[in-house]
Amino acid sequence: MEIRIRNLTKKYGGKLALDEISLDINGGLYGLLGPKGAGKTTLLRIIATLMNPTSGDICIGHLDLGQRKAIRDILGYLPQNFSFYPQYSVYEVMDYLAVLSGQKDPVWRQEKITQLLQQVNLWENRDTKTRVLSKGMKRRLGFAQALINDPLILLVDEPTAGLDLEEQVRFRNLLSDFALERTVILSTHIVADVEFICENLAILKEGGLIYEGRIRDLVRKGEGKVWSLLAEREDTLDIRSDYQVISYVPEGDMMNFRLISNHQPGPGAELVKPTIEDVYLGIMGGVMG
Amino acid sequence: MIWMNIFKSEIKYQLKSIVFWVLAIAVLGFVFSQFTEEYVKFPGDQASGIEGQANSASYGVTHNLSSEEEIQLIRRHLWKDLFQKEGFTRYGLIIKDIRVDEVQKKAMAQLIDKIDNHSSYQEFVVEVNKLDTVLGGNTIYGDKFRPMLSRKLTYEEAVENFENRVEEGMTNVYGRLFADYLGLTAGLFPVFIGAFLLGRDRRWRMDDLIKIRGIRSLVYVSAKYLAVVLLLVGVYLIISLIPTVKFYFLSKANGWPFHPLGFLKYTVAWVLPTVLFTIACGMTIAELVGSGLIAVAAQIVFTFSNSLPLKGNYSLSRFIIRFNTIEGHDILVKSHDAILLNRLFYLLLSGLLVVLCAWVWEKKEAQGRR
Ligand SMILES: Nc1ncnc2c1ncn2[C@@H]1O[C@H](COP(=O)(O)OP(=O)(O)O)[C@@H](O)[C@H]1O
Ligand SMILES: [Mg+2]
Repeated sequence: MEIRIRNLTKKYGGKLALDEISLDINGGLYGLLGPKGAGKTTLLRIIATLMNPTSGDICIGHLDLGQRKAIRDILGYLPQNFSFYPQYSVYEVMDYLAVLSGQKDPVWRQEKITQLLQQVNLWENRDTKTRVLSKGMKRRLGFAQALINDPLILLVDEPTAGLDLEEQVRFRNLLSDFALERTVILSTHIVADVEFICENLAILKEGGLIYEGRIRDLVRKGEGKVWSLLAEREDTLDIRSDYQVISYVPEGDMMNFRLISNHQPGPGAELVKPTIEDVYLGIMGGVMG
Repeated sequence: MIWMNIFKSEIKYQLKSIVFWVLAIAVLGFVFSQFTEEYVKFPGDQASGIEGQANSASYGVTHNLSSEEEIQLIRRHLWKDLFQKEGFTRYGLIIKDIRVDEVQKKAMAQLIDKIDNHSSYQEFVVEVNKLDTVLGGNTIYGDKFRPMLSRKLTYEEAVENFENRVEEGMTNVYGRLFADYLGLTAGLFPVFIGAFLLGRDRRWRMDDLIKIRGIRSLVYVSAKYLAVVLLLVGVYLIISLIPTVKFYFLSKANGWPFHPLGFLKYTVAWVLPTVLFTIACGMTIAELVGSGLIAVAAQIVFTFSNSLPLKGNYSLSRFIIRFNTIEGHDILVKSHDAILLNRLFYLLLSGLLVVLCAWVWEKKEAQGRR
């Protein structure tokens, strides 16, 4: 299902959180990348009809934002900050939210919840009170609840933040599986989240859209700009102030820099194959357009 | 049915919550610390009469005064205030003794004169109210607090009142007194549940997960509201059974007629609309201003501003029915229609508040969280 966002602006009081954003999101896994404060959560909450934009429009399929109920019926949402009634068990939470989604048939609910809890590996914990769930389990329960109504569109806000690596990988796989037939918007500040599983992405910074397109094309922006430079150790400070340095590691008496520059930064510097992280950091640092 | 599911979940939740049980016990504690069956026995063999005062033969007091009695009591009061105390008492939440200045003294002295030469009760009322204004209001002289004046009953009067009570039915008479204390609690205590009923979702950060569902706000809000209403109605009805049982045995022992619904009917008619209103009001204010604590504070103010006079005022601004007397059958007869209208008004208002609350719940922009 396609989502068309036009000139979307959101102000909190005087603070501009989204500035005239226009985006076309088609099926599959779409990445929304940006640092903290970029406006990712604000954008997702507006799409989720939990918040009204200050101006601008969004069309979801042929629905506009005013058709809240219709949108909510086809939408799943995993918020960035959420929790559950602490005294409810995993199963009770799922059942309660399924009821609120309008699922009247208890047999249907039972089957659906069983299937979802198995899918996110929480079936064994179905009687556990939510207050004792680990962060990763909570997130997986959040994922399961977002799928109760078989949404056509799934919004997930920083699903991997704060999880250990194993949980992160598991979560990415859950998302990839799901996105095969649906639209998923994945907001994150972690480049690795979008790097392998998204085809398209948008990069936000301070409420503005600074990139929209395919990941492959994004990497291409870095071609001819990422360098590897071997320099004296005592030049470290100078180099760091002159260039945007991605990383540097000691090599014998010397220091090996990975940096971004439009021209060759020094004798012996060699061009290297850019990664998406290089480009992202370059864009954030303002040295790459 | 979805509504039923939410309703049942909320009941289950409340029954497991400490707040609910603390509240139920608080209502019980308050009511039975205030309510006594004083003067239930035949005058003279007061089991619960004031010990040690048996000789001075206290048969209770009456606030039902004739105009002449009222005028004379005020005159005596005025005399004492002017010449012995050189001050007066200001009533209200805090009761304070205040000294009078020269201007006020003069006004008081003039009033004594006027009382001695008054031509009609109406004139008297005008004059005492004037003095009340000169003294700054909330004194015994104004219309608001003059009904507190009382005198001791004679033995004969006490017997007559007693016989009237038996005739009307002790359960009815004490049912009203009981409903008076219950009503005071109903004006305040349920707000502690109502004000946090919807905010709980926010507090546990589950509000986004709930609001994103397709559920209609009126279904969600009304199911939760009525679940709490049902529970608190249950609490009040069960508490009303206690004096019912007590009066069953009292009636049997004394040969009085017993009306099983004496207590329950006043609880249902007078107290329950207050319960409904208090919950609806707390819930709605909390949703409107986004703070349960403010809703509680507001309700405390409402309750105190509604707690006086002790009986007789049933205008639509009164959401608590006060009837703090075991006399007052004539007040009841006179106020019957006003009370009925008042109760219907608050039932209707509660319904409207729930609808308003559902509307706010739906419209209110979810608060972004950082
Ligand atoms: N409820 C709010 N009130 C005021 N400012 C807010 C609120 N929510 C977010 N903001 C501000 O809007 C900007 C975007 O926030 P957010 O959408 O949460 O960004 P992100 O999710 O990318 O971290 C930030 O500067 C944040 O401080
Ligand atoms: Mg965010």
